[in-house]
Amino acid sequence: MSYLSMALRVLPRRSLQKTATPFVTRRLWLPSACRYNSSAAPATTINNNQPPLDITDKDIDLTEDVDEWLSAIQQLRGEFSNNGKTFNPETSLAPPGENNVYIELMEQTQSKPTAAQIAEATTLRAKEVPKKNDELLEHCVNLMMRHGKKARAEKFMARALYLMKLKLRIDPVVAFKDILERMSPLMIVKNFKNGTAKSTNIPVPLGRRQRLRIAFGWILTRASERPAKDFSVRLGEELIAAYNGDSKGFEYRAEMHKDAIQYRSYIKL
Amino acid sequence: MLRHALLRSSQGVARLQAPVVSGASLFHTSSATYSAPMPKFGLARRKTPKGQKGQKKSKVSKGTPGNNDSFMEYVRDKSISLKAPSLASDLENIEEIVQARLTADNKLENKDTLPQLTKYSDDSLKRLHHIGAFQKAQYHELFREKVSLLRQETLKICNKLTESASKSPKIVITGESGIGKSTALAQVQSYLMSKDSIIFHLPNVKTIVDGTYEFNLNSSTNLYDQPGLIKKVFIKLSKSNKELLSSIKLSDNYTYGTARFSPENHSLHDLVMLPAKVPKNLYSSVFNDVVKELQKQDKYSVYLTIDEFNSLVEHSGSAYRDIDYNVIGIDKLSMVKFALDWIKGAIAFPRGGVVLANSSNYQESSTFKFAVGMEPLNPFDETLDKSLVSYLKDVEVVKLEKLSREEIGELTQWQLNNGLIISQDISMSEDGEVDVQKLVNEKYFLSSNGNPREFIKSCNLLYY
Repeated sequence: MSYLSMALRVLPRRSLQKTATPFVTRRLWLPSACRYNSSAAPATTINNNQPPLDITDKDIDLTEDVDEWLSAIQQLRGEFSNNGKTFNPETSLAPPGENNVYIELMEQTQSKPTAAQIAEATTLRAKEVPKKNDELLEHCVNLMMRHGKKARAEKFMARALYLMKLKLRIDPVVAFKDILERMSPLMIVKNFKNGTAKSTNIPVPLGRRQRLRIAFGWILTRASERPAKDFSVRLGEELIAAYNGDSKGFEYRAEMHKDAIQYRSYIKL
Repeated sequence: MLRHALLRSSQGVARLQAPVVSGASLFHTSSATYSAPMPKFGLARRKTPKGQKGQKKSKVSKGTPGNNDSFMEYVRDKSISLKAPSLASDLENIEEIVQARLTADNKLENKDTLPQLTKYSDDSLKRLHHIGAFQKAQYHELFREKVSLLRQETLKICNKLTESASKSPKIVITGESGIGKSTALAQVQSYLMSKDSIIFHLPNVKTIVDGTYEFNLNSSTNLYDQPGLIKKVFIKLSKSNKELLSSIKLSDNYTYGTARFSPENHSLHDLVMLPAKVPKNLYSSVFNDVVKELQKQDKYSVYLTIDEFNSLVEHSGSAYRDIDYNVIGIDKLSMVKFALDWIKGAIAFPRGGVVLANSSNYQESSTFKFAVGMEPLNPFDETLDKSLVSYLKDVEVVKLEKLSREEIGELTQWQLNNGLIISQDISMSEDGEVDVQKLVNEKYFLSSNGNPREFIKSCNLLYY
């Protein structure tokens, strides 16, 4: 505690020495067993019979210190007032024997890089700055996110990957990407309306981001049907099952491919 | 006779509807209605109005938000840690290392071989499990054995305890969250166990003062006894010190109700086992007799160990109230009084000491900090409890510092050897080989900031 804060606390409350209470006030709540053996004699309360501790009035007396602080403040005021004039840093802070403060501007020396520094800079420029986050993982975390709570979604993902690491003893990020690549469909059948009554179903190839998004959506829906209480456990179990090829997502993928093959004659090349 | 059909709306709000009796007016008294077979009433469910989609109910009951228990339980399942690779051949036992270091006194300050990853011996591991030394979020599921990093501070504590066992040294382990206070305590406990000493461990001390146990006033001591707590403490004591206690013979005859104990037929272990014959109101006298017996024997040294000690002395009053609804001070509870007296030195054993460890889940009160000398006296502190200060005056503080770069390096190498560092990070090195020093300097020493728990988290729970 600084002297100033101590002074601020002591000055308006001089009567503190007499009225200091030694005990914490606790929140009031009654335990279920409170009245057990209530017929017995009452116990002495905690406020009585305190063993004495050598905290004397000297420890609390700060009058000498306060005088010292006040005199220091007076002294500083005298220094800064500059013989009755108002405080101006340019004149008040001048060194003895001078009227003003002169700040000499440093000559700006132009540094020239050495050949070694230039070479280092070129090699560093050629290097790619590593990305802070893994793109795919971030995409999946964003898909999991509800109500904008990203940290929560990240925690779920991290714990699910931790479970994969524990149970499979593999690099979970590599395995996660592997699962999504294996489960993701290549084609989707889209319904096109050509303005007339007739509409046509045409298989369309999916981009990488689209494919992985669909696969992770399947994983999420299957995970939410699992019985575990914690979402990260549900997701982790589903991922482990998917890694072992035991996930419904693979069936969905086969169905989508089957549909695409069915409508293959409509593909416009 | 009125019958009510319970209607349940789609939001799950139960409502009462007027009685429905087919073919009769509402309050008629015709006997014909009652003679007729009763119509079956079932729980009716209101259909969702057309055009509105009812909320889909998830098939599983989700846990409350922020509750980590179900995840922790899942992770602590034995099937996980059993799949982990066995590391038994690689590591040495803690007890042997500490013993070897302490016998050669001049080597104590030599830091050449420390920090060192170690495991517990089988015997002390069993006893530590009985005590409950391993906590939930310590990431023990990563390995098959309980692995821990032996640090210089643990050696210092062990040295202090064994050097001056007759003076009964008192030590409290402090430090920031996740720094390894409980682990250090477990290491010290395992060393003491290997030295044939009785560990008197108080489990879950927060529950002693928070109103968990039933209590009654003991008129002879004017203290409040908690019989359920005594039973629990005895179970831990008997399980973790079975062999030692059964080798101590009773020095006197004891009778509690119909239960009788004699020096010829019974050992101290029989007394601690607390047979069903002993009535509940005499548990406290059994406890006192056990303490007396432990004081009389000179065979083994006796150590008091408490984890999460600061939760016990966080406040000077407990959650219990007396018959006048006044707060019962913690030193009015007999078990707390016993522990505090031991710490103060009012209860002494021929040989032994006290090892306490704080928890970062609870705050270190200003009373505690002043009493053990961590802070100077603040004369304006109204919460200072003078009586508690007198109990804790002689306790020595051992503060666990952050891990050094070398210690983080040791841990990184360990994680790397066990394939626990993901390939994203390993590819950071330029050459084909993995540059551990670079990994430590550029990533793990920074991400962990010298904190072991943060280090394990950054290795295993951060992929972003």
